[in-house]
Amino acid sequence: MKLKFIFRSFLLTCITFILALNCGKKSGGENFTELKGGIKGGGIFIANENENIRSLDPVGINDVVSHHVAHQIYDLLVDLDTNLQLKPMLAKSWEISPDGLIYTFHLRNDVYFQDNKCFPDGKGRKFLASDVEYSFKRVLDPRTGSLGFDFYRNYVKGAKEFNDEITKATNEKREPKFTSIEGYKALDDTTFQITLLKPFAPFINYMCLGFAYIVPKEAVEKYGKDFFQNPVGTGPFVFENWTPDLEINLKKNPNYWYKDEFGNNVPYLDGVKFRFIKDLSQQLLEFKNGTIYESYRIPNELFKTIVNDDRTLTPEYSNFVIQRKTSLSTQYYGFLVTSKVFSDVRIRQAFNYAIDRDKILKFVLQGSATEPAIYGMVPPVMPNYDSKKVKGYSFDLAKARQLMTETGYPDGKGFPEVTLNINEGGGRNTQIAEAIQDMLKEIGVTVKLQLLQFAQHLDNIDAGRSDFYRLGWNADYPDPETFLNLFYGKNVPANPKDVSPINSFRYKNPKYDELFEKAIATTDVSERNRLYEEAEQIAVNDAVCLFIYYDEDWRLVQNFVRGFALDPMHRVNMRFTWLDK
Amino acid sequence: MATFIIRKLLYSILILIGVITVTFCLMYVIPGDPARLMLGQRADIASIDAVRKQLGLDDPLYIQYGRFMLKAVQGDLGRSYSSNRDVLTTIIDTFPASALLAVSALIVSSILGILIGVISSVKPYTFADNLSMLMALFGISFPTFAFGLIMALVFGAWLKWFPISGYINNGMIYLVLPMLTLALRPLSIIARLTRSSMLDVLGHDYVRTARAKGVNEWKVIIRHALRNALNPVITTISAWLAALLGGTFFIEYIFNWPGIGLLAINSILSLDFPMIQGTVLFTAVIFILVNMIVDIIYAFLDPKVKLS
Repeated sequence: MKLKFIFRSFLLTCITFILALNCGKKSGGENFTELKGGIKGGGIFIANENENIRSLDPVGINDVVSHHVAHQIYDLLVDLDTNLQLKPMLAKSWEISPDGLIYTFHLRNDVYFQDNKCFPDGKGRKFLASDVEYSFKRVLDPRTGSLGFDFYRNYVKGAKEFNDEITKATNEKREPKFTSIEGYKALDDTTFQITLLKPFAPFINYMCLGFAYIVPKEAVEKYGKDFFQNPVGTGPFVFENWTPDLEINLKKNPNYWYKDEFGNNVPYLDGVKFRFIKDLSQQLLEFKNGTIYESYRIPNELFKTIVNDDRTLTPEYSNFVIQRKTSLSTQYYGFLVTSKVFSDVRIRQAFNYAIDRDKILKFVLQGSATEPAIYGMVPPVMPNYDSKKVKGYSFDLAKARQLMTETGYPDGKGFPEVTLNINEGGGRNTQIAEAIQDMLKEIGVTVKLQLLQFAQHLDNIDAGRSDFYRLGWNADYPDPETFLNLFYGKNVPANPKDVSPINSFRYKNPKYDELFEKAIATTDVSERNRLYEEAEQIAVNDAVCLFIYYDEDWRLVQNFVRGFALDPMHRVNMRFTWLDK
Repeated sequence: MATFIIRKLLYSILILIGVITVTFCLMYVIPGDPARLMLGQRADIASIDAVRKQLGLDDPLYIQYGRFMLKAVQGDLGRSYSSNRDVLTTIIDTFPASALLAVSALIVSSILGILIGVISSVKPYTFADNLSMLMALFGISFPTFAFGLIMALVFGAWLKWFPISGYINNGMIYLVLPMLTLALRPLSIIARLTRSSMLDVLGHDYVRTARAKGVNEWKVIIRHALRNALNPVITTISAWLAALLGGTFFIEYIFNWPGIGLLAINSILSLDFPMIQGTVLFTAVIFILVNMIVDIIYAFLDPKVKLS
């Protein structure tokens, strides 16, 4: 009897406990207002990121996730639209001198920094060209802990000298002899000019990198080393708080300068919450529960339960919206072309012909990638560039066998066992490697798989200890140079014992280098692309790597989310996002 | 008493130096360059060298070690490579989340464990006893991370009773699943221990005498038996506190609970040396402190244990 009483009391306590906890849960009481053009204003957008952010100080933003958050707090001079075309932001317009050396930006004069206590009266002051000079100089100043000076140091006039002098002065514990950069000039309050050392056509894209966000000097000086967690910009959302590993909250900047085509003030949302759930399956569960509004990337093992063969959603997920976009990224296996096994181009070509990429896409990736990499390194989604003009490799087993015979390895006889290094993380890496292992057996090549932790994997590749390795390349900006730079011979150190982090294939071809150098110095887009194509064809003919597939991004969003497009570089812009609740 | 504490403190300092040295050496044996990871795949050699210099990674190992020790003594554990946050401040900010999870899990496991243990011992070899002990066996042998995933799936995804991940800043309900998952193993152990200890005590003469005197059965159980049976249980509970404070890594990862465990896992994945050192050092300090306090409490509780 007493036992029953205890049991009942326990059950009652549990139920009361659950109810009490649920009562304590914050309700999502959001207020929406009708705006012009059928848009609704208000609400908090709950985003999710699969990795932690590194910094909210532009000098430290070289990762995608930090960029996602920072893009809502700061503005750039020039931004990219969802088709990766340049569009004005803080710069109303810009021009590039015919010799490609001088970039002149005409800035808006109606932009104010967000209200913050770093300003004398707490009220954000007007944005000026001197802020651009200050922000850009910080990126080249090693004292700021900058991770971005390699982008600008070799191109902007006086940047290298400035960077070297500050480094030297810091080491010698003295004041720097000069603190200006010749190539950065604020001509007046609304004109900013950059002078390059030599023509470098992709440079305009560097204005869209995370390092190029504009910050006010007052905030950097007030918060010092902690500016990265007290960011102030001119962007549409104001930073509120950041709990590492958990969430970042932003609230609407009521004074944001942009008005939409209907005359509404932007942004429409009251705020944005970024959560940090790293596990994709857990992210999906939370998304299904409605506690986050987006679920980026679909776990490979769940792909078929979510997406039908015709790329629509299965009934279980039909309440949601699926977004997909070919991403500006290529997955490949690199060959160390200086290694004994892969020094013969015919072996590398044989590997490329032996791979049935369609099968990998259909059976391993189950349709989650766009298309097989049958062209070259630059994905077909690259704007203003016709990747399809580059002729790559299609599945041709007979040709692969013939090439192996020509090199003295008929049916692979006598060919040494090859170790393929792949990194941990993402089950599909292993699955693809196993498929390729089987395919290479067809030409008599035995492949041993070696799974390594990513840091060690990179270390081995850089040091030239991996003859055959998996890597992927995501574009930093929408110009073929970001991909083709990987094959540039001048990125290979003279001493073979030195690390070669960019051109890890250690590929050198003077003809390629000549065309590449010519291309990046050419301001005319069509001529530049022609030179890129020609150069890329050389690297593809030399089979520097085994091209596998061009990736595709998939994202599920709640059906009430509007104005939240997916772009090929997975940039996030919430200026025009609204909730149709 | 003072001698006991001083001796314990001296031992603790030695242990801490050992922990720091081993962690420090281990990290430099692990392949991978933090500067390379920070800069990403595009980085050129000059940038990698510059960042290595900024981080002080270009100095010989003994200089790095000496610098770290000197700063650590002054309470400066450096700044995180990956987030640039001050390591000690981050750990101090993060610790309440781990402490809340550990303490609440321990409270739940202690209350339920003792309750189940007492009920089992009062009705030994009945259905209720067998069922409780079977469940306790399951709790001890079932991997905690797997249990966590099942809890998230059943109560979070299917029944939608509790949120799967997050922190209490959005409501106390966020505590439930990680707390129950973490409580499973100590609960099972406490239940089994309470049962065996109670069965032992219930057979003693003074319990038989109390019953013979006609004392109410529940009074006999609570006042006479349980009080005496609790000594080993309290020791176990105290020992579990240290284990839970430092060992919630998987639970925090599964439920995205922003505590020391999650911080440590993320630091390891990004080769964030200062943060790894900081979390290891902090966990070691907690372990040592809690164990020292347990030793002192135990000595007070049980006169047979001498502090000297």
